[in-house]
Amino acid sequence: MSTKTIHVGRDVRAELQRRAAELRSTFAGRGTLVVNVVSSPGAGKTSLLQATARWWGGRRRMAVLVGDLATDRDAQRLAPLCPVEQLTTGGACHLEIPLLERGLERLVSHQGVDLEGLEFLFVENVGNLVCPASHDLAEHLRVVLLSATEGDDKPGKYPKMFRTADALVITKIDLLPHVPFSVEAAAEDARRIRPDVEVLSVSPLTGEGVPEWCAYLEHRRRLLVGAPAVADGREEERPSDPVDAGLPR
Amino acid sequence: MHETSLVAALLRQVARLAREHRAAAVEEIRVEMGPLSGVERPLIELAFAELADGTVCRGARLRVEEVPLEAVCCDCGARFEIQRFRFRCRRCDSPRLEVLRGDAFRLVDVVLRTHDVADSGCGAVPRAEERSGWSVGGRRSGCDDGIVRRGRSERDAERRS
Ligand SMILES: Nc1nc2c(ncn2[C@@H]2O[C@H](COP(=O)(O)OP(=O)(O)OP(=O)(O)O)[C@@H](O)[C@H]2O)c(=O)[nH]1
Ligand SMILES: [Mg+2]
Ligand SMILES: [Zn+2]
Repeated sequence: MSTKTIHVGRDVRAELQRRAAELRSTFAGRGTLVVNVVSSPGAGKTSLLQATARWWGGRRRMAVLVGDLATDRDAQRLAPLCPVEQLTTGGACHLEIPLLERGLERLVSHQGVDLEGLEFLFVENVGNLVCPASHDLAEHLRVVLLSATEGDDKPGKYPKMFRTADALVITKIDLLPHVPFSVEAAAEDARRIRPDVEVLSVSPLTGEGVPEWCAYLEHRRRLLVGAPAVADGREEERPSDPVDAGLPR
Repeated sequence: MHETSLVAALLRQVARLAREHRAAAVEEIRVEMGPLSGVERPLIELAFAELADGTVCRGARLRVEEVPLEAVCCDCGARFEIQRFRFRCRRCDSPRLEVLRGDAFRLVDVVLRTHDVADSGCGAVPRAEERSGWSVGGRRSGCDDGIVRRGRSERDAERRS
């Protein structure tokens, strides 16, 4: 018997990262912006996606893959608004690429989604600020939601998540008058970890900030497909009442 | 806790190496982690103790090396340790940093116990990606634009350019 040392020097997730990178460039080639939406449980991911679908009202071709430990409740909320498939993780605390790939197949076979023509694919991750941070889901944009009731000190407490997120969306801003939460303090804490993070504020409930959020997504998609910025003038396409973008009461 | 799935992936990779090198057993597995690896050491060790049984890694020693979070500044070239997750250059305050280590969960090397027979050569040559040792975080591309390059935003930026 003798021993032999094999050098590897590679991330344990390298194979999944490679698959994610491949998928990311496939989507980029099709002009689909993939958005990974992460937050703690209940920060408002599904509500924001509902508000997004309402605001676009069919003008943008979007689909959602939503991760959940056990139920299809979020998918049921989104189903009247856009094509959606549930990814049931069976207890796992985060989504991984193989599950996403199966979900994509089902979007095509069950929902009749034409992936070639899709403009936005949202992946609602499992509510968790820890594990999803480590898993690349082929996204072009990672968005972390932080709701006003969670406290403005959270970015520094979950460094990996806030380091890897391209945008921070403060949600439930209708509650700001009632809770001790400073949007500026949260933004500053996030920028310490990720200096170029984009910060947005929304209330899916009242619709406040939803148009700006949707405009940001469209801007990011234009960067992806390399198209020139469109002139203003989409104003008239928008619903006249901003509350239309909000949640059902 | 996603450490279980990461350790399962680790064990699969080590088992494949052991097969390729016709090893009789695995003596030691060395992994590297840091403050931004997204894994907790005790959970890694716990998952390893549970999952290694019944695999070729049974009885193997897991050595977890903890490395600091280190970065290089894209503007002034300073190399330094990032403390308390403040991602700014210690020398010039630039936010344009490239993380060098401390953000991966890496399989460094594996010590295999082999039978003393001449190596058949089957699988003895590491595959391309094992040799090149590419890793998380896009270390290849350096700092050539105005974006804090890391992870997906970096790849995004590459595609745009
Ligand atoms: N006041 C207020 N409540 C909101 C807002 N957005 C969402 N909520 C409420 O917050 C709760 C959680 O919202 P969800 O959209 O289910 O949150 P989620 O992040 O998808 O939750 P999980 O998928 O379970 O992690 C619901 O009761 C929503 O009605 C908001 O802007 N303001
Ligand atoms: Mg939800
Ligand atoms: Zn510097």
